[in-house]
Amino acid sequence: MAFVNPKTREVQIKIVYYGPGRGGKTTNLEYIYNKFNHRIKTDLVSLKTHGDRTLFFDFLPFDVGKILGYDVRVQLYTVPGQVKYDSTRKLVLRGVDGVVFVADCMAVVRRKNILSLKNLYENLSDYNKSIFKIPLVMQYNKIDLAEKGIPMLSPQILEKDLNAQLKAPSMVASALTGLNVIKTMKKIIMLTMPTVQGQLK
Amino acid sequence: MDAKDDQTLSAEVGKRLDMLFEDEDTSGAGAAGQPPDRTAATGKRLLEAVKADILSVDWEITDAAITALIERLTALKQVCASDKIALILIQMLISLGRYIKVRKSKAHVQSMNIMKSVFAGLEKILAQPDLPQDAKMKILRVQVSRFHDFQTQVMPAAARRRAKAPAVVQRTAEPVSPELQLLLQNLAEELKVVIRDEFRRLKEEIRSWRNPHDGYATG
Ligand SMILES: Nc1nc2c(ncn2[C@@H]2O[C@H](COP(=O)(O)OP(=O)(O)OP(=O)(O)O)[C@@H](O)[C@H]2O)c(=O)[nH]1
Ligand SMILES: [Mg+2]
Repeated sequence: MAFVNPKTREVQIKIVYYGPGRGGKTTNLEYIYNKFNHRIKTDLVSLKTHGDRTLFFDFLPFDVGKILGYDVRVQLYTVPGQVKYDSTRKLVLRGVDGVVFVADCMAVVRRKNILSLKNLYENLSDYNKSIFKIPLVMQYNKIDLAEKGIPMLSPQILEKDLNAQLKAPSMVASALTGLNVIKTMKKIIMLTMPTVQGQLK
Repeated sequence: MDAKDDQTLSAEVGKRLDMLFEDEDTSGAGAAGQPPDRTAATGKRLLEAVKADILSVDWEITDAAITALIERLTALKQVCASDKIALILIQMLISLGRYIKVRKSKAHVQSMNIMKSVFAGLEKILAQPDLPQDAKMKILRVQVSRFHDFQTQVMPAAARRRAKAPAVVQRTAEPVSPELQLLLQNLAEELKVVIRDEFRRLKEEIRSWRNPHDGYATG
């Protein structure tokens, strides 16, 4: 549920980047920040371990502007992908409006993608949310590695593994080069619009 | 709200997003990818603007003035991405800016002098692209040592941390959603656990450097 404050006329849309550890969630936000911070004028808050892993979450808020009299603000979060940080993941999911599932295209992590998606399903259920109903975009990341001769999962396999039932909008991406990073973000924000709209009364 | 408004919201948000994040297709070509003459011109313009910003902060420390300065420095950082020495100086200016932003009129009386001195160093380096590397290094060393002295003497540890990290605490004036509030509350508790965990792993790592034969394999 988007956070709507009728008094201050503010709307906050919360997007969470979810997915297996080292899949590229943080890199998505870093790309957006590095490329557009001069325009969005907000800071990326990141907490990392010494091995560059996300500790709690990354947080990148930005203002979209005043629309229909409301100040619309988007908040992008990432969860820590490592299995052991499940309580933090659950916490970050609280009040989520839309999820980007960042899957890793590398063949070696096929199972990790599936387990992470299952974990998302479970954690959403704990908030009485259905993975089938929540706005969701599937991002198949690290597609640039295909050129490097690294064994990859084809988009068809990924679709079959992860998206056969969900049928969410999906796209390949490279958070490193920026391919489809902005497109992913725009898509997920637009998918949340009907729900957000429902709350503006 | 009726269906018409519905479309308006969606369409309007879409439009704004397009505006905010246009030129997505030039992926990979950030400021560094621009032709050099344009970069140089942009750099010069930004440098002038930073100078003006510093003067206005020197005149009166207002939130708007200091925010503008930090934003401009951040932009300059992108333009100077390939110049390591300039980057360090810019980062120092940003740190100082953040410190002043936190302390406002309570900032140490020397803060603005240090800032002007660091800026003068930066200006020298950027104005003379063909300055030999060791001359640049000399400028950098002078500024860094001044900055360090200042940092250790006058900036209290807490403010130093804040000045470094682009943290949420700077933005407390803005409304925080209940979700974020909850997250932040839980952060302290979780931090303890994770820090303990991190330390343990660090220790293990250090131990394994010392005794390379106690490898994981032999267990
Ligand atoms: N080649 C390539 N590498 C990528 C891409 N995206 C991320 N990486 C690399 O993969 C590693 C992990 O990326 P992160 O963004 O930190 O992954 P994460 O999902 O945030 O990981 P956790 O925080 O542990 O959950 C980093 O070394 C990135 O540079 C990509 O599109 N292509
Ligand atoms: Mg991460």
